[in-house]
Amino acid sequence: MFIEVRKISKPNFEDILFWINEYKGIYLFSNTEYNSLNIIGISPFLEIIDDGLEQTRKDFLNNLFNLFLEYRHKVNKYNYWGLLGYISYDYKHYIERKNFFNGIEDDVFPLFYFALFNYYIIYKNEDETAILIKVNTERDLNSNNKKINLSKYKIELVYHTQTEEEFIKNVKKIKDYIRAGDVYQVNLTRKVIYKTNIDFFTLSYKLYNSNFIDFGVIAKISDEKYIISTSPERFFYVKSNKIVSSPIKGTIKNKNNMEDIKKYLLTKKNLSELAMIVDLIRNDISRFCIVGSVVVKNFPIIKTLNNVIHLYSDIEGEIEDFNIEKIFRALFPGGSITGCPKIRSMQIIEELEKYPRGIYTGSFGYIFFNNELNFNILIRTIEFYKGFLRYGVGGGITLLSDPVEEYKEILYKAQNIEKVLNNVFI
Amino acid sequence: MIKVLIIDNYDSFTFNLKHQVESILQKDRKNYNIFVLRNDDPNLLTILKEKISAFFISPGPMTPKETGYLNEIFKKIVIKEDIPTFGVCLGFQFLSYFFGIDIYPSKYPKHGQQVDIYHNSEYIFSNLPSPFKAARYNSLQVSFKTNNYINYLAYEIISKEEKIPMALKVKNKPFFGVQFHPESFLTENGDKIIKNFFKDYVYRSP
Repeated sequence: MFIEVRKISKPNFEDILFWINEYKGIYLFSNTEYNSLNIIGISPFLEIIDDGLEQTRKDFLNNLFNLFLEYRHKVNKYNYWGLLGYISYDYKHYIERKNFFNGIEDDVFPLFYFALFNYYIIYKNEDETAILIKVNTERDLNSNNKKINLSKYKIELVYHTQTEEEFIKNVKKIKDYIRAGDVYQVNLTRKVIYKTNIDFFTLSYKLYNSNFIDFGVIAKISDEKYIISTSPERFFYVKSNKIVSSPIKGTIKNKNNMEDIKKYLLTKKNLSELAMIVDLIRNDISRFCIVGSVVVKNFPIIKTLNNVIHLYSDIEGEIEDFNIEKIFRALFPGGSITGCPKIRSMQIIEELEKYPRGIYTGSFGYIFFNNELNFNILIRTIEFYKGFLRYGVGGGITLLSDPVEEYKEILYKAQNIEKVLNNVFI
Repeated sequence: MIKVLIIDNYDSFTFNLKHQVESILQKDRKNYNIFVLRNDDPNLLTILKEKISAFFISPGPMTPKETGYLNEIFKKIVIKEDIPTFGVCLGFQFLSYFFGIDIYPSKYPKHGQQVDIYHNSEYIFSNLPSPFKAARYNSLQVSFKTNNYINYLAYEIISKEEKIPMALKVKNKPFFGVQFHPESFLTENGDKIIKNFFKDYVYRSP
């Protein structure tokens, strides 16, 4: 394997988008100081992609881990690069027994996608320069020196999966399930679908600048299939055999002063909503961590975005033996977007949401050959395909939820995306 | 060798309980084997045929009636062999239900919230302060009216007139249940309760 590593100046945003569009690629970005890491993979030379076959799907995590081991062995010297890709929420059918679920899956985006690339560019926001890694190629990536022309576009709502009344009715149904003892919390979401002639550059540019984004993604999966995520949520981060997961739970509309923030955010409702998921994540992490190593580091932490303020928590553990398949089987899908207990919540989600989630609430991230993994939760994420645009939005429903307030909360959460698309609120 | 079986009622807290139990066994320098099996796993019977030292019933969704083979193995094996048993939440409700206590939707459902647990320092609560704080995750509750089989060991106090049972012992049996969650990060003294159970009922048995 031929690997060349050298310092380059940080690439400009226009070039990154151009390369992604031209050669296919994935840009995992942060525009904040909190995460601050940016990873670009351009021109895939190897792809693991869902071909729809049952056996491929069942074996996917095992194959992913084996491929990782094979390349880790081959790479051995410069290992700060690796697989970039995602697993869609619908992969739950291959984590748990399929007959627990109705089996309906999204048919637009593949169930999973990972790739190795000819070019990687990696830098932190505070760095002066970037690292370029070339794998199995002699050629260079050239700057295109093009400016993005933000073009005018038409956009028209096709539909959303639950009307206001339906959403409110579903919140009430969840509360009935909670009272009956089925669950403590369910994450209820809906999808919004638009038809549009917007172009990839305009859309990416606007979304990139729309908010504080710690775990963003701009990716071209195949011709006319793009994922652009403005996710604020880390699913998990693995480094030096330590894992940290940082579930977000509890949201209010942004307020101006700290007193109001504390009064409205640190409520019994929000704190218990977060506590449930913290206990769930402790459970999931415990399945592959050393006894006694799993600890709640901070509870709660406040995270401020343009439109909303969230609560989250850090749960840490020490991994017993490093196995990517084991990690995903124990953790996936993320507890913050299912509810608790997880399996029963996912069944209720299917019953009430009706429409498959697809990549929404799945996870996008990287698996590096130095055993470093970092995955987000695919929320506040646009799926852009063949003239359509789709995103999901939702919230955790508990017994303390007020149905009308929950509906308002999903509108706040969608606000930044809606501003970008329409300059109007739905 | 201490053999612990945790029956998992498709819950999302079962492995917190497993780690809690394991860390106690490790601190006490015991040789142990711990198994977690789902409540509809056909291997449950095979494992129970060997001598089990402690049987844990995990929390879980739904009601005590919807717990796979739990009822059957409890009746056929656990009772007959007096296997020390510790039920959490749904596990507590299962023991109540099994010994004839009513279960119904609580007027005071709570999830992921701390409450004060009052007790008389007996059995699994010996050497514990009363009250202490513990996390509740339940919508159903067991009736305050007890019967010939069950002793309540702890309560949450709602008002002068109203208490909610929070822990039980089955009379003349090494069977305990707690409605709250000793494995939650919001619970104080969870380790001590489980340790008391092991010390008094598991380590001592022949």
